[in-house]
Amino acid sequence: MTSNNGILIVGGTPHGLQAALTLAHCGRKVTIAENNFEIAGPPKGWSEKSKRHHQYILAQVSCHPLIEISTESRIMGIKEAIEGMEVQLTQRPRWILPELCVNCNKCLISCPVELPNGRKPIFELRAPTTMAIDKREKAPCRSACPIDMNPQGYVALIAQGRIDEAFELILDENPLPGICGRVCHHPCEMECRRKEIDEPIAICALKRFVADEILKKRKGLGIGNITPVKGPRIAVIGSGPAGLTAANDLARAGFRATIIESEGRPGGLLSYGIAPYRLPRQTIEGEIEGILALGVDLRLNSAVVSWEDIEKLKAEGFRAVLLATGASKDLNMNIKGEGLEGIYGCVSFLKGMWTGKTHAPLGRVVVIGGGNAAVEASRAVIRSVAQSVTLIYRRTRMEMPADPHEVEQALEEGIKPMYLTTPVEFEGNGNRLARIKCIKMKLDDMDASGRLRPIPIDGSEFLINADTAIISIGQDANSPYGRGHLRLKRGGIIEVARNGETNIPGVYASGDVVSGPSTVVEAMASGRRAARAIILSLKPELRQIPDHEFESAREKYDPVPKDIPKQKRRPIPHRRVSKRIKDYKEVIGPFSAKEAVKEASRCLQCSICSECLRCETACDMEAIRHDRVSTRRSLHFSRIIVADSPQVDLELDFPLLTRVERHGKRDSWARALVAGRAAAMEALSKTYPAKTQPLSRRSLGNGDQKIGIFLCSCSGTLNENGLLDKMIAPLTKIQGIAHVEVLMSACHPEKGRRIEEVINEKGLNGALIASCVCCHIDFSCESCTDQRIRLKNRLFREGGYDPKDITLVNIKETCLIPYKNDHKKCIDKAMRIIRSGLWQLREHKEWTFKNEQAHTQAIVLGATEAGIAAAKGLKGQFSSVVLVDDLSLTKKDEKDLRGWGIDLVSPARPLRIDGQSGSFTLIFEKTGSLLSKEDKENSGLFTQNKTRWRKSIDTKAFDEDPRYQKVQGDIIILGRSEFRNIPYKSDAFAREHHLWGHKAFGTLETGIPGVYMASWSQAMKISGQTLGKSAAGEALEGTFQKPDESKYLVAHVDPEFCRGCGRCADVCPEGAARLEESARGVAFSWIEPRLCTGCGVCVAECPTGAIILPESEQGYFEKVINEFLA
Amino acid sequence: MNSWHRKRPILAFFCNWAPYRCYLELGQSGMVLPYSICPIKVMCAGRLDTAIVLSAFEKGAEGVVIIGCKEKECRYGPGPGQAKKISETIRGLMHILGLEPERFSMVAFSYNEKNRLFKEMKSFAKTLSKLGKSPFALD
Repeated sequence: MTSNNGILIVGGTPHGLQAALTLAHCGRKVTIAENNFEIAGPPKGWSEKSKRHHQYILAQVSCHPLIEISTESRIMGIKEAIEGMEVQLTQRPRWILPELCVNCNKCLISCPVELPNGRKPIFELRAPTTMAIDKREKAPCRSACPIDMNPQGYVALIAQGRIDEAFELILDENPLPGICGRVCHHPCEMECRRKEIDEPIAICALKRFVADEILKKRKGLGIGNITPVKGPRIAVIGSGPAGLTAANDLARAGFRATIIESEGRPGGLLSYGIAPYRLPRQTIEGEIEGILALGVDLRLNSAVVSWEDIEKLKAEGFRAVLLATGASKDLNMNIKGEGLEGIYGCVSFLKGMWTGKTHAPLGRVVVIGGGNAAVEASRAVIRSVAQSVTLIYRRTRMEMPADPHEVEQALEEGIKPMYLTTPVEFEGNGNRLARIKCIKMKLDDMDASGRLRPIPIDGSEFLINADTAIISIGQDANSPYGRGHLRLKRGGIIEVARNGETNIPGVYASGDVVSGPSTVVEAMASGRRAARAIILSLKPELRQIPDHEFESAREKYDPVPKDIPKQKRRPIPHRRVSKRIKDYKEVIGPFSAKEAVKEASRCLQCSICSECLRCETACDMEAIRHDRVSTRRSLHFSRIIVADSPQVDLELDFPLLTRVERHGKRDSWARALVAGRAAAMEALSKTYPAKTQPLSRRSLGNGDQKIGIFLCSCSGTLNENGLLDKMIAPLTKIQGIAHVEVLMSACHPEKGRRIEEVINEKGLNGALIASCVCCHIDFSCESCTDQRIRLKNRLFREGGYDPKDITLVNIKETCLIPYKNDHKKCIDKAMRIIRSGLWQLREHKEWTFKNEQAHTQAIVLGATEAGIAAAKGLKGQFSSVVLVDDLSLTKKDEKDLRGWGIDLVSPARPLRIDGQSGSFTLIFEKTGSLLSKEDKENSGLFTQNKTRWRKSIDTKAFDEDPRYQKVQGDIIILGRSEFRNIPYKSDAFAREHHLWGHKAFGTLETGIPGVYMASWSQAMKISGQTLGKSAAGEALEGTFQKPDESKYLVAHVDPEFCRGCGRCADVCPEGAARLEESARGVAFSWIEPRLCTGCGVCVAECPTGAIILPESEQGYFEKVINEFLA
Repeated sequence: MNSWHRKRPILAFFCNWAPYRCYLELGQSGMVLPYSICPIKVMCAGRLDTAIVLSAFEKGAEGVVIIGCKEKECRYGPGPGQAKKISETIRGLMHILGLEPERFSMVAFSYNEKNRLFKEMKSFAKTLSKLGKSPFALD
């Protein structure tokens, strides 16, 4: 069980926000758990005023240090615990941490994805003011790729013309992009959702385009100089795709890989099987160089054929051996005549061709088989080495396993196919091949491979003339070393676990040697898995790095849009047949840059965010990490308030769980506030204020001015072309400035602390921070973003600095953004604003305030349902509560109230209220007779007749007549709306007037600050109980405010100049300015600091200029005006 | 017009709340106010009185504009009413001093009216440029 986290509010609804605010103002710690990624804005149906007020409350909630907002959080379970409730909270992954985001928008600019509707996957939230990412489930192209490449990512970058970045992204997962871009069988394209509209994106060709562009620019794909690698040595046997990928991964993980290759050139079947017109030597060499540049050794012409060779490697010091020897042993047909000259196995034939052991003119060539190898061989020989080429395959074209595109090109080049045919015998002239006897086939039922089984048609044999036959019906694995040691399956396949481990520790295998003939990318994936197994076995600590696990809880894709125009694929350039069969130069050409962009722009960006990680790289504040995962926490709270029913099951009912009274789905703003406060009121009982240190403001000292100026560049975005740097010199020249610095960020929790550092180091006694924050006062307004609030909280609330010593001015939106194109103008304006801000630091006056009053007594007028609820609510927090009513209560009610400790004065007729908030006096008359309600109404004492009310009271009599008694109270709550008519006299010199109704909507405060009316029109449909609690909550909120902080913006009356005219008291909206009677019986004005909000209207009203308010004096204004006019 | 702006400052008093937010949003969205507008922030438009406004003119401001909240939107209450009252006095005094009353303006904005603020400020600057140099200008 973790320590107490205060009160939990479920749901960032307006009700919840108000409840949070009330509780926080009363000193309680609050956590708001919101299901969505941001706190919802005001509903559309609200008036502008409501929306504005909502924004204001939100700003206050964001600002308050006792409130924590947890977005993307769901309640998974609630149960009772000792003294509270235990809650299971699950928070979805926050890829951008709000507490570190500074809203510089660099991530937004770097994001390459542009969605069809013009938006981007990274966007700004309203509350909290941070950036957020919309990431859906894994894109289909990415899921289909065996090596987990990110096609959506690099296609998005290509569409923006950012080829270098696309290349880096490709290289992250694929060390052989140029190779794959030419020979991969692209399972990604088969899953591409664009095919539902027109055609899939040409992902493979785009990848090839990027690789070629980079190869042009750099010599080879090597990444700089060879870095010495010191990790464990691993031997990789075989330099085909599997071996190369494994070596690449091992090197990147800090291991020293050595590739041991039997042939004279690396590449395996890439070099010896695939033809140069498909895959040029240059590409292979360039990409292998890139891998070697990571620190990988290459040993050529070193075959591993026996187990002793492997033992020798181990003796050499290799910690593990990865066998990636491939499957290139041609299978025999095992028919008569196979030993004749002129009959070759496919792989060995091709190897001979590419190593320069050219064969004699081949004459009429027959190639047997239907896979890629067969087609490769056919196309290789038709180029001027053969007289004719016939391709014999036992099924039809549709069932050929070869890439259909390859088959198409082969047929274009003149290869004659013979389907549904199989050779049965080779006939020769002497020991040279002369004819092949074939038989026709027909297709029967499906066989084990899922294809229709071919069976020979009896009596359909025929002969064809042939000089050369190339048999390409499959390959066995090359694993001669494994016999007797490794577990081998049919065809020499090495048996391995999924991660490549063999039965011998330290010996792994991957690629075609474990899968049989497969594709390039499957072999790469296999090599990668084995490499990972080796890495984790020797460096288990690396397991901490998450393996890009996508959470299954992610949202699904948007449906494929139906309304975008069809756009066929951009054509991939092919050389003309007549030209290309004359040489071995590449047949397929790359996209041009323009075509590549056009093709890439067709991508639908299925997963919205493509995880290209550009934003992560762009963010200098380290706020973005795409590999964050959900967290699940079990937290302890003293009470729970449910402000959003869908989140918590309506059936759940605990004594410590309060539900906000909601009326339907969409409450009006006013209702929400009242209901929220009522819920907060309930939660106040049995909870205690958070143990916060009383804030002691420390002054940086007086004396000669040593001011530091800090210019925030908002992660560098505001300092383009050194705009801010140019201001350093002129600012340093100002008198009193000891330090000027340009900051990376002022609001970042760590980087911003440079300000405090410099203040300490240089012993500054003042600081001015020029950023986006516009003021240094304690409360927050609608302009405040989370970033601004963060800085102010850090300096003033946590750091305890005095606002007199540190001031903040806004130069970001006032000049740096609008005038950024004209440095001279911009600097001029910024300098003037900074200089005017400095005057806020140069006026230091010390006041002393009266001690704060403890809340002692509260008065409730009217024992209605609302009044009684209010009285009970207040009793928890006030030392005593007096309930006054002129109706008699039932014995039961009286007993109940006495049980609560509430003083009951009844029946008593309230006559007048005197005084101000914090020091009210209620004058009442105890009526002897116990009049019932009906009697009262008949006697006319309760009429709305105001004149009758006034005339009946002789005010002078109050002090002398013993009939009239008084009771003091800090606040007054009216339980019945008729009590509005009670006369009110604010001070000894004021005239009587009436209390008026509610001050504004959403608040139960009347026109008199400190007097609350717990009644409302019936139409609002709020219960009396809720109204009473809400009034009590509001009253407490007012009385609890800031008991031990000294407010900065407080007006102070200088007794030297005050003439007691009372104009300030008349105009003060909060009732803070009040007239008091001096010993001589004359009036003087005094301002209650607890209530003063610093508006300055009294300063304007005062005829003698007796009222002083920081940053509002005439002298201050004149100096500021001067800065702009000089 | 450009040099006019640099040497002919217009002081704009923004109240801290809705008008200042309006002003910041305007700047954030890249709209460029005339360079002559010099922003001064006050807590409430109700604080401004004749002394401040007239001292601005005395020191050479071409024009003064007070941007406050709307009547019912003042979070303190009396601000806009107070400012309206004082502006009548100010205009009267300006007339006596020989300043054209068009040089002073009082406008009210909500937080979401940045487009209107932009237009208003531009037209005010234009009006002043037509009026020419202030009789109290320093040069």
